[in-house]
Amino acid sequence: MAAHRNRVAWFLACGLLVGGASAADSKPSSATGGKSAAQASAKQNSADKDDEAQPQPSTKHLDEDQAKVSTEDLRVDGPVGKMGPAASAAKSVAPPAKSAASKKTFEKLPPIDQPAPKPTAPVTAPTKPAEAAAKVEPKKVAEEPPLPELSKEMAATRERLRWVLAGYAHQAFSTQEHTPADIINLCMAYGCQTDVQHGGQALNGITCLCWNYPCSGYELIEAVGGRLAARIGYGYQARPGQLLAVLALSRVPLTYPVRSGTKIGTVADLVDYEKLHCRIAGDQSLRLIGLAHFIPLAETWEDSLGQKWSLEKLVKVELDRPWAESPYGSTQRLLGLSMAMHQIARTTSAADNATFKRTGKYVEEFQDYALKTQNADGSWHSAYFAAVGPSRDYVGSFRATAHIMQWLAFSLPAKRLDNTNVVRGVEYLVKFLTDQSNRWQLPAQSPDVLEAVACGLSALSFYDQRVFAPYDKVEEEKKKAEEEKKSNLEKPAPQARAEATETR
Amino acid sequence: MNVSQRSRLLPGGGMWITFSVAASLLLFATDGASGRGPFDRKPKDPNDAENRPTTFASGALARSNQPFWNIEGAPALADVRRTPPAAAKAKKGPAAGKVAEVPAEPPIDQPAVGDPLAVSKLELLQQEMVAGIRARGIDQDFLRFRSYLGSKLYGSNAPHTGSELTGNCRLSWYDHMLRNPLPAVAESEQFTRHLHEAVLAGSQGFAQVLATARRKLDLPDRPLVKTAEAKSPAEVLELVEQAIIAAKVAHAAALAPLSKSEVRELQASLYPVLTSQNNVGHTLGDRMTGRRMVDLLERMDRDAMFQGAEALAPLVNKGLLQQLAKIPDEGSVVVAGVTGRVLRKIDTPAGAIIVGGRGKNVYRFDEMGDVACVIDLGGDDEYYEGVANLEHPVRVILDLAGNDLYRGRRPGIQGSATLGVALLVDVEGDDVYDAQDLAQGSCVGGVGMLVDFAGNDRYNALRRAQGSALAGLGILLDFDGQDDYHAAMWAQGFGHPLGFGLLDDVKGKDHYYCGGLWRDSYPETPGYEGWGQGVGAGIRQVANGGIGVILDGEGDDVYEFDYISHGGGYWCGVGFARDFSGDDQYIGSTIKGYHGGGRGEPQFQRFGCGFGCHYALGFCFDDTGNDYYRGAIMSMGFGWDCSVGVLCDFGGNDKYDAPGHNSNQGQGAQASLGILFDYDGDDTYNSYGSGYANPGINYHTQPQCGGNFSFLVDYGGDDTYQCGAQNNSYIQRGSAGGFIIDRPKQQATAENDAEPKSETKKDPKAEQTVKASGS
Repeated sequence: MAAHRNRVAWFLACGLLVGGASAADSKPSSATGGKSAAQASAKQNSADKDDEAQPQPSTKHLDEDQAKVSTEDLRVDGPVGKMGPAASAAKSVAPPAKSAASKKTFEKLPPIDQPAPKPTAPVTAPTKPAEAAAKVEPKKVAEEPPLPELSKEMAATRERLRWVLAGYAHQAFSTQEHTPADIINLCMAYGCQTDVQHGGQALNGITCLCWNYPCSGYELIEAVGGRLAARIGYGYQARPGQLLAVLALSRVPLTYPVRSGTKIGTVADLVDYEKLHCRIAGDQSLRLIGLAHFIPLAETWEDSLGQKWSLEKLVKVELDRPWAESPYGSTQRLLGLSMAMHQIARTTSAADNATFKRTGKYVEEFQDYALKTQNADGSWHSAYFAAVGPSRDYVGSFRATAHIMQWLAFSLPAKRLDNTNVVRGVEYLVKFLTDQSNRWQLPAQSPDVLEAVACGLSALSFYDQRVFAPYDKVEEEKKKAEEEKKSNLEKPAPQARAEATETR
Repeated sequence: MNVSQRSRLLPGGGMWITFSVAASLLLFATDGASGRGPFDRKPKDPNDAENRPTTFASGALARSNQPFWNIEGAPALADVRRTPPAAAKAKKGPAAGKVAEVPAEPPIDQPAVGDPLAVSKLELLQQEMVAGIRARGIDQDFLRFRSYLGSKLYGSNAPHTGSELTGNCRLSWYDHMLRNPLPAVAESEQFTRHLHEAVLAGSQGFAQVLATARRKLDLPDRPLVKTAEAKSPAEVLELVEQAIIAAKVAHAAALAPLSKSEVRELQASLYPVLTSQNNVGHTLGDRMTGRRMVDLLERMDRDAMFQGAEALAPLVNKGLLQQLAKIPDEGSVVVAGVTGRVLRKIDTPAGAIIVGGRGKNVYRFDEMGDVACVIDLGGDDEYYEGVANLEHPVRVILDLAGNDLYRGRRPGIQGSATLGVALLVDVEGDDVYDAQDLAQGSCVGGVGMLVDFAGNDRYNALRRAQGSALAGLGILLDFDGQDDYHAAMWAQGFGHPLGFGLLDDVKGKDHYYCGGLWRDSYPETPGYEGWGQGVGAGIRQVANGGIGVILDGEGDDVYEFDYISHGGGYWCGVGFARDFSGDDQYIGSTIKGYHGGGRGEPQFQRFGCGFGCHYALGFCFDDTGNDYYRGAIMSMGFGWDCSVGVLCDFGGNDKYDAPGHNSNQGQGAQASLGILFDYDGDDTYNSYGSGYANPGINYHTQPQCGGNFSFLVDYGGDDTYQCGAQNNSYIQRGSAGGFIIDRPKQQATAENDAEPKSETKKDPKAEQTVKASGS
C-alpha cells in the first residue's frame, strides 16, 4: 500500500511536468546540428510568432549517407517533447532528470483546438517530431479566466487516469516483435510520446513509422507511382489514410521527414498521396481526419481521376454516407468531421458555408445523441449507437466506449467536458483499463484489442489534456509558493537569533 | 398450387393421399385451437407408460399442438413453397417486407432451372411420408426420434462436452435442418436451386452466391455489392485497384482478432496439420493441434474475410472484363518473374497490378514480388505457383483469352488461399489447372474463388481442391465446356468446419473423379478415401462440419467417387449434390486409380449419393434424365447414427445398383432417416435393403431414440426390385418404420385411389407387404 502511495505521489509529482523533456532543452538530435524541420517550419511561420526567436533553417538536402547518419541520431532515448493527445501524464513517469527539462515547455503544450501548423518548406533532415511540433506552437492568445477549483472527485479521477496512462505507456513494444500496424495504434494513444525499442534503444514511435524502420519485417512506407505512401494490409495500415490520421492527431508537422529506401520526403508527400486518392465511394473518414488537419480549408485539388476536391466536398461526402456503412459505429467519421470543424472554427470565411453549418449541427446532434445512448455505468453498447443498454460483449462494449469517448473528448466544447455523462465515460475507461491492466499485456495482444485499448488511452489523453492539464500549472505554482513559505518559516528571523545569543 | 393441382401430379393413388393429408391438416388446424395436436390421444393418463414422455423434449413435443414433422423454428410447408413476388408484396406488415428484401433468395415463381415441378413433387413426398407414419401409428416414435436428435444437439452444444461430440464450429442451419428432417428435404431443394439460379444470373448472381454462403455460415447479412459499371479500361483498372485495396483492408480486419503469435502459429501449422499430414478423411493425424487450429480460425473475423471476397466480386463481371480487353497494346514494362510483354505496371499501396500483353506470357509468381493482380489480355499463358497467404494476402488473376496453363506445387494457388483472399477468372480457352493441395477455388481460413467462363478445362489436384473450404469460402464455377475434375480427397464442393465449398458446372458433359489414392480407414471394407462431390464434413474429435455443395447444369455427366462422397454429410455437417439435367452416371467406387492405372483395392464404395453419417445430413437430387446410381453399402438415401440421407430423382428411367448388398436405398440405421424418392420412369432397384428399417439399434437406447425410418417412394413406371417387392405395392420393410411405397401411374390405375386396407406377409424377409387395393 505504501509502495502504491509512493508510486502515485511520484507520478503526481512527475505529472506536473507533463510530457518529459522538451525539444528546446534537449540536445540537437539530428546530424544537422539542430537545424531541424521544425526550425524550418518555425521560420516559415515566424511572421505569426514574431516574439519567438527562431533558429535559421537549413536548406541543404540530404544525400543518402547523410540520411543514414540522421537515422542513427534518431535513436534517442526518453521522451521527446510534447504535442498530440498523449503529451500529458503518460510520460510523466519518465526519469526525473528528463522531466525537469519539460517544465519550461509546459506552457507551449498545444490545446487540440488550436490551429494546426501551416505547411512549411521541405526539410533537410529527420528530427524528433515533438521537437518539430514544439517550434510551431502558437502563442497563447488571451488571458484565460481563473480555473474553478478541481473537486475532490475529479482530482481522484485525474490521479487514476494518469496512473492508467502511465501504466500502459511502459509496456514495451519493439521493432523486432511488432508490426507498423501495432506502432500506429500505439502512436494513436501516445502520439509523439510513443517509445518503441529498436536494437536495445528507445526510438520514437512516429520516427519509427515515418523513417520506415523495418518492424517485424514490415516496412510501412513505399514509393507508389513516384510518391511516398503507406502500405495497406495486415501489418500495415488497417485502412487507407490511417497513418496520416494518426500523424494528424499527434500533430506531427507537415515538414516532418518520411522516407522509403533512398527516397526522402515529408509528411506533405503523404498528404499529397491521400489527396490524389480521395473517392466519393467508400470510407474516407481517416482521410478526412488527416486532410482536415493538414490542409487549409480553402485549398482545392484534383484526385488521380481528375475529380476536383476541397475539404468542403470531402466533408459533404462523409456527411452523405450512411452512418451504418462506417466502421466503428461511425465514430471515426465523426472524428473526421470534428477535426474539420476545428479547421472551420479558425476560418472566419467558412462561418456562413451551408455544408459546414450542417456539419456543425450534425456533430452537435450526434454528441447529444451519444450521451443519451450511454449506459448508467458510463459504457456504450457494443453496437455503438445502434443499441442501448448493457451488452454481453464485454470487450465490444469497451471498444465502443473507447471510440465514442475518444471522439467526445476531442470534440465536445470545453464547457461540456465536466458533464456527468462524460466523466462517467472516463471513469468507465479508467476502471476497465485498470481492471485489465494486469491481464492485458498490450505487446502480446491482437490488433483488435490493441486498437481498442489505444483508442481508450487516446480518449483519456485528450480528456487529461483538455480538463486536467490546466490545473497542473496552477498547482505547481501553489506548491512552489508553499515550499517557499515553508522554507521561510524554517529560517529563523535575525532578531530572534540575536535574542538567543544574548540569553546564552 | 391448390389441392387439385397437386393431385394431378400424383400418379396412381394421388387422390387418396392428397385427400387424406389435406384432411389431417384441416383437422390439425381446427384442433390446434384447443391446444391439442392431431396425434394426441385423449384423454391422457400421465401414469400410462405409453403417454409418459421418454425425454423432456419428447414429452413437450407430444403435448404440443404441432405436427410431428414440423416443430418450432422449422419453416412450415407453405413457407418452403415459394411465394410469387406479387403475393409477397400484397402481404401487409413488416414481415412481408422483410421477405421481399432478402437479397440472396430471389422470389421466383417458377423454377428457372431443373424440374419445374420439383417443389410439388417433394411436397407429395412429405405428405406421403407423413401419411405413412400416421397410418402405421408410429407418429409418437417419429416424435421421439426428432426429440432425440434435438436433445443430442442441445446436450452437445458447447465447445467442450467431455465426449467426442461437441458444439464447436456448429452451424445453426445444420442444427435447424437436423431438428426438422422432413421439411429439410424441401429446404435443400430450394437452396440448391436458388444457388444455381444465382450462379446463372451473372455478376449480380455471384454476389448472391456470396450472400447465401455468408448466411449459411452464420455471418451477418450485408447489402449486396452492386454491379460495378465502367465505361473505359481506365475506369476498370481503377475498380480493380479499389477492389484490391478493399480486399486487403478486409483481410487485415479478418486477422485482427488474433494476436501475432497466434497468426504465426496458424501460418506455421495450418497446412501441415490440416492437410499435408493426412491421408484419411474423417479426422486428423494431429487432432490436438488440429483443434487448436480450428479454434483459432473460429476466432478469426470471418465476416471481414467475406467482405474481402465481396470486394473482389465485382471483378467477376463479363462487362468489366470486356472493357479490360480494350486496353491498347501500348507500353512495355519489365517485371521480374514475367516473360513476354507486359504493357503496364500500376503500383498501389496494396500491391502492384500488372497488365500482360496479348501474346504468350509466363508468370512465375514466386519471383514477382509484391504483385497482387495480373491482368492478361490474351495468349496461351503459363502461370506458375502464385500463392495467396499471409505474405500475399490478396491474389487476383484475370485472364481474358487463350488456352492457359496454371501449374504449381505449393498450397494456396489457382484461386485458392490460406489465410488470404484469392480470385482467378479465366474468360476463354481450354485451360489446364494442375496443382497439389489447396488449389482451384479452395481455402483454409480465407476465401478462394475460381471462375472459368468457357472452354474444355482440366482440373487436376490432390487434396482440398476444386471448391473446398475450411473456415471460409471455396468456390469453383465453370460455365461452359466439357470439363474434367480430378482429385483424391476433400474436394469438389467440400465443406469442412466453418467452410462453404461450392463447385458448380453450368454446361457441358463433365467428368468428376474423387478418390482412388488413399486406402479407406474402415478396416472391414476395401476401397479408397473419397470425401468429395457435395460433402459437408466435420473432423472427428476436432470440430463440427461445414457445408459442401456440388451442382451441375446441363449435360450428361459422369461422377466417379469413392468413400463418403456425393451429396452427403459426415460428423455434424451437411452436403448437397444436384444435377439439373442430362443422363448422368453416379459411379460409386472409382473405376481406375487416381493416377490412371488399375485400382489396388477391390471395387467397393461406402456412403454415397445422399447419405448422412454421424449427426449429419446429405441430399442428392437429380432433376431429369435416365440416370445410373451405383454404390456398395450405405448409399442412395442412407442415414447412419442420428442422421438423414436423402436421394431424390425427379424423372427418367433410373437404375439404382447395389447388387447383393442390403444397407442402402432409402434406409435409416442407428436412429436415422433414409429416403430414396423416384418420380416417374421405369426404375430398377438392385439391392436387398431397399426401404428396410432395422428394428435393432445399438448406438442409442430404445425407445428413447425413436427407431429407424426408411422410405423408398417411387411414383409411376414399371419398377423392379431385387428385394422382392412388387411394382405398385405398399410394403413394410423390417420394423414399422420401413416403407416401400410404389404407386402406379394415374391413367393406368384410376380406380386405385383408395387407402390400403390390409397388409399381408409376402417377401422372404417376412416384411409385411401391403398392396395398394385393387392394384
